[in-house]
Amino acid sequence: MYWPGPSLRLAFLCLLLGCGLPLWVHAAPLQVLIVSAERNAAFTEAAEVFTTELERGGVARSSVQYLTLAQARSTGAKPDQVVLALGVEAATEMARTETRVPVLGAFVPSASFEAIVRNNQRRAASAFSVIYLNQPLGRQLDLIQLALPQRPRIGVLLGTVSSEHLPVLEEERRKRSMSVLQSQVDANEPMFAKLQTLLEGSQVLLALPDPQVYNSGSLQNILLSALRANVPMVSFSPAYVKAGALMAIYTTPAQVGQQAAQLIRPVLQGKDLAPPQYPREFWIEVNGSLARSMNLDLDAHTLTERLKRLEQKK
Amino acid sequence: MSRDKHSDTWSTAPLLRVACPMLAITVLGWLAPAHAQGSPQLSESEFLNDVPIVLSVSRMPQRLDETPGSVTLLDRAMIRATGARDVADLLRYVPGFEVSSSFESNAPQASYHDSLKDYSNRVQVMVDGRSVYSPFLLGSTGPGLQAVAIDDIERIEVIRGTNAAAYGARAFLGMINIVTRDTIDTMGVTANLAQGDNGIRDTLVRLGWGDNQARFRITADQRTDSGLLGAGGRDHVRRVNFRSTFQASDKDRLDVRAGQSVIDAGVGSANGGSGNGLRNRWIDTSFVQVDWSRILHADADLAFQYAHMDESIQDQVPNSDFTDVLMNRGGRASSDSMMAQHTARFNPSLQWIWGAELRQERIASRILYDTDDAFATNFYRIFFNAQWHIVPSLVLNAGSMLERNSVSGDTASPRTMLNWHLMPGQTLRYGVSKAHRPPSTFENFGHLVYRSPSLAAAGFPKGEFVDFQSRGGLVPESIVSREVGYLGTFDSLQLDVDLRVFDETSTNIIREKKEANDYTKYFVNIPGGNWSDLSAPLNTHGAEFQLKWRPWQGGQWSLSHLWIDNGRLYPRMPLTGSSLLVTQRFPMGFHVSLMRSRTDAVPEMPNNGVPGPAVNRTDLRIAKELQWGSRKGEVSWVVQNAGTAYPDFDPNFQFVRQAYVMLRLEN
Repeated sequence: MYWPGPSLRLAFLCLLLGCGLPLWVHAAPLQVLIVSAERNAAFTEAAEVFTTELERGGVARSSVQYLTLAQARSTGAKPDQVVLALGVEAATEMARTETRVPVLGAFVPSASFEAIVRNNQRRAASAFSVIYLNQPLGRQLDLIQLALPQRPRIGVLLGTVSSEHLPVLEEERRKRSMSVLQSQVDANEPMFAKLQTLLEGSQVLLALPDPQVYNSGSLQNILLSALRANVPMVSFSPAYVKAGALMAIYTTPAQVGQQAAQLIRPVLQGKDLAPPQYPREFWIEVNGSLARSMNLDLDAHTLTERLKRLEQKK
Repeated sequence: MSRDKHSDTWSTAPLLRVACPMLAITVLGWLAPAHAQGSPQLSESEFLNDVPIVLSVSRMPQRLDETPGSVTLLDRAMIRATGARDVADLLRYVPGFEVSSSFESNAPQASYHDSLKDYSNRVQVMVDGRSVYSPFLLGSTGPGLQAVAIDDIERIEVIRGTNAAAYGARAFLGMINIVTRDTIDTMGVTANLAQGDNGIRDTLVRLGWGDNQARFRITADQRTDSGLLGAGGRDHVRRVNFRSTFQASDKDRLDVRAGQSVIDAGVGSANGGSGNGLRNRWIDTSFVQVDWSRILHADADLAFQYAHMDESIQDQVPNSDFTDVLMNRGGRASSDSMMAQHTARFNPSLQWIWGAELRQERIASRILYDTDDAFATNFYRIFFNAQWHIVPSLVLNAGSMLERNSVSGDTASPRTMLNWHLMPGQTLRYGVSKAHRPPSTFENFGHLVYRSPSLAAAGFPKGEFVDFQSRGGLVPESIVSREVGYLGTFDSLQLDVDLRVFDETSTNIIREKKEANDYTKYFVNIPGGNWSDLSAPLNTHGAEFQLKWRPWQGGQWSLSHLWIDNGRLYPRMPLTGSSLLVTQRFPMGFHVSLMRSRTDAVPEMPNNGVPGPAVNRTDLRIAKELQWGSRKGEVSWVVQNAGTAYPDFDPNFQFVRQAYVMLRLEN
């Protein structure tokens, strides 16, 4: 049997060290790919918490990679086990891409997820799931009942997107024996008159995300009209509380990352992806100045705890 | 201009003054790019992106139990429920106010803790932050209370007690702050038509249009009736008001307002002699107002205002005795005002507002001043007020207005008010404030002289009859007001209580005087303000309360009562006044309101000096909402003074029972 001489052995060793070692370093498989259309503060925070949580469960940090869609396309990165798609655009792209690994979406509103599934004929349960960005309607109604029991009449202004929630809203309202006055605005219809009528009959305005109704152009008029009618707004985004809504219930990026890690850990162990679900954890933001000026005694921390306890009892 | 020319038709020139800027603004609005309406797509950005600040610190509603004073709020529902046809009539439901429906002195007016005789010039009237106090003659609330159609009003905030610390000299005894409806709340077309007894014929047409970025409203209305029985004849108020709102950016908002109101009132009497014969007095007021507000951040914002007002008075008094005497008591007044203010919240416990205002008022009247020259008065004002939650249950409001009047000098009007929340819904308030009212231009410089050969022939020296001649040397009136207030909310009873106990001490009150052997009048400062005791300061004290009770669904009872030992009356005597407003909503869109008000007998009626009887008045309103698809409307029937006639302003002027029907349509 031929055995190379010392010089050749040295050369072979060099080849191994020069080429083989880097190959060996990359040899740790890419198990999880996190992807988003762009990097923003919310996505970055969620991805970081997600990675840390997986690491805590024994997954090597190096087997989790966070790329933008453009980077993923150019490098052709393909994970072995699962994709976490952050945001509607990334989830849509992953739905279109022929990938054999399951995809978990996050930061995707339920209406958008349903549209993605509808348009891409992808099976939702086993290969494509999501943590919805929006809170369950029942949770929002529970919050209003807890925080503003003296204001039982809730008004909801609905556009084309948010009116899809109507059946669920009706069901949840009935469960709680609450009074919900709803008004639907068509795409090109001015909303002023309907808003006025709605505010006349309401004591709380529940804002549901819909760019046709709530956008930077309309928000000023809606909030000021509601204030004149002494109708505080309960919203879905802390930015609205800063702008002038009374309260918002939402899930923080860190909470999204944590829940995503909890859902992906079983997949890494060979189990099926959990079905689409609402965020488990949430936080409540209160506009302290407005609450005080409306003579309402509201504390964000207490409300969050009380709402969690209420959900645990159910 | 002749009386007839103005009594029957709209005056074209003044209308054009207002219409031109309005047209320009309207065209600008149409040229403004429409708000882009994209197809709706829900993404994460709706949840994660920032949105512009809307409720910055100055836009936050202020709690009534933290305000530095007593406030009565008349909201739109209450305004409509009363069936009142003007603001003065509404103020009868505010404790402490005395009101009149008479146009005899200028326009229906309202006074707080004061007699109506002096044109009610110790109360400030604001419309959307602009003073509409009439500086002509002695100053008056009357024309200002007629500045806007009652249907355009969102709410009226009545500050009971001096508010000079925030708004300067005219808020000497109180302030009436009229806030008109936002343009977004008045989109579409509205038409009102009322017709009834005593020649009542009120009409209103309002048009509102625009989008989120630029909105416009124009309201034209008239209020017409035959006036008080025995008074000078028909009273017409015609108004046009324009308002536009531009959302210039996420942080900047521009409001432009312009308008004109014409009060054409029958005054005087057939036996009024040379000085007060039957005639029409014509008060034409027009204005332009520009407000710019900028949100710096959630805890700070800036506001700028410019306002210009023109007032023209035509009052040609018939004179059968001396036909060659000029008897036109008219003239012109105008004002320009520039104001800037900064509101900031330092931390959740401390916020303040400070600012400055430059104001000039010009008054010219040949007959009142015996010259064609205009008298200008400049006001330089600096104001600040801080609200500090010393502890959550203790709120201190402290502030002052520093005012330089180019005629009567410098004054400071400080105010300190402490609100103590004893427990949730229970607040005690104690405060002291000081205010000054500088003499009006007429009080300072008036020289009312009639000249003619026929007067010489009648034996008047130099052919002159000097009715009034100022002697100068007047100093501002001063008041120190102390009050203890209580505000209580009883949720289980659905009851709100507001009690104010007050002690107001005035000095240097300006009063008209005439020497025993002379017919020429002049004004003097009276240390005590009361002829009965010139040496002691004038003291007014008493208590007033208002209750709001919502005993059942759709029902509300509002009760107010005043007890006052009023040193402003001669002879000094205690007075009471009360009002009750009961409203009830019924199924099928029916609304019923019953109003009752009562004031004590007074020692002097405003126009005549003779004692006036106690006045009881009962009003009733029944309304039915109408609805056709998306269109709304209402038909209502109102009876004013269902009981016997009562004298108003003058023993010969009677407010008799009158009823009217109003139809209101909204599209």
